[in-house]
Amino acid sequence: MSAGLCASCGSDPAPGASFCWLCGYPLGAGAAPVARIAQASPAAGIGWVVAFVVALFVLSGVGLELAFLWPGLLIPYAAALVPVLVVMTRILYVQRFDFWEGSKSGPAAAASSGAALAPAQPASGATREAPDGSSDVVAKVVTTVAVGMAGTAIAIGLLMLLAVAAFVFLVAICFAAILVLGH
Amino acid sequence: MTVAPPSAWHVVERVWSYRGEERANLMRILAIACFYAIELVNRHGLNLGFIEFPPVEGVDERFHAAVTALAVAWVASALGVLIMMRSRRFPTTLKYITTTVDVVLLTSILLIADGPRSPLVITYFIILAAAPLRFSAGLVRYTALATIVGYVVLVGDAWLRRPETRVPRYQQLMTILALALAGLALVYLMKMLREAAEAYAARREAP
Ligand SMILES: [Zn+2]
Repeated sequence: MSAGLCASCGSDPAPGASFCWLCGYPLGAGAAPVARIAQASPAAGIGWVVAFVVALFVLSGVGLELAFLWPGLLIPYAAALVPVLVVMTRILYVQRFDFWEGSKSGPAAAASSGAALAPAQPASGATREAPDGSSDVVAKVVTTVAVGMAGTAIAIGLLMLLAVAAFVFLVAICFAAILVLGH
Repeated sequence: MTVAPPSAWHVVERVWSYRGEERANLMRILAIACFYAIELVNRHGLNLGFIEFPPVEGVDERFHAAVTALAVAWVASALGVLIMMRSRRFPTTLKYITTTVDVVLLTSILLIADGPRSPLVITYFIILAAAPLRFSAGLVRYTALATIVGYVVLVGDAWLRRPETRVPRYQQLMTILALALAGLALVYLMKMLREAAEAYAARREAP
């Protein structure tokens, strides 16, 4: 059993928490361990990466449709989407879900890197099947594809916002020039 | 008599409802992707040579724009749930909130589509079928009630505002009855699941 996981459900607790976020079991010394819920974790947690990729596809498709319907709406759309994508990409990139934290150190880092993609795949440290590597490769490939797609989407969104900013800037300069020259 | 202590059931329920909510969210996003793809085909038409989907009459720009907006809202809420759960926030009310959002958004789409006449009405059954994934009889009851209310809203809208989307009275009653009975079967399923788990635990403990 890896240190730092909830003694009751095996999930990866938040740093410094005194109760398990999932099952409410008190963490730390003094808590008598109950029968641990052992379970195999099918598809060790790449489902949510797939969900993210599909969501990205839908949102890109919607962006294409918006370009046909009302191109003007692409701007607020990009502005709303970019922060969400940045958060998701950060989560995918650092392989941790408390993405706002800096780099972790100590045993917590070791524990969470083991259960990185699966904070709530209980007992992931204890009952994980013998590492055959194939599911790890799949998870890595899917994650890399997701990061790449999200990065591209963010780049497109930022370029679009930059173009708008440049346009506004140009208009402002023209306006100022007209005002100055008009005098 | 030995039954599993409630705390053990609580832990099991929390863990499995987390996984169920995750799966339901994945299903939600996949379903929106598929249904939006169908909407795109209806709007633009699709000719694959051996099979052709002509553009559907009545899918005008306004309708398409509204469906697009609702699809974006739906995907955004699913992404929000994804981020929330992945940053260890999983309140017990989350399943009620996500289900309410599903029913409200589906009802909104149907209100701008063909109302009770639309084939999308069967999507209420998909929402109901996803309720037991969260391991809660209360949620199944709530979902059955919410989908029935959503359907009644559609029927009321057709009755008051859009007579062209009305369906016969027997069809309304059959749909409501089917939702209620499906909900009842799923509530029984939830109860039996728990009883089976407790019986299994008792048998394992018995010498
Ligand atoms: Zn726990």
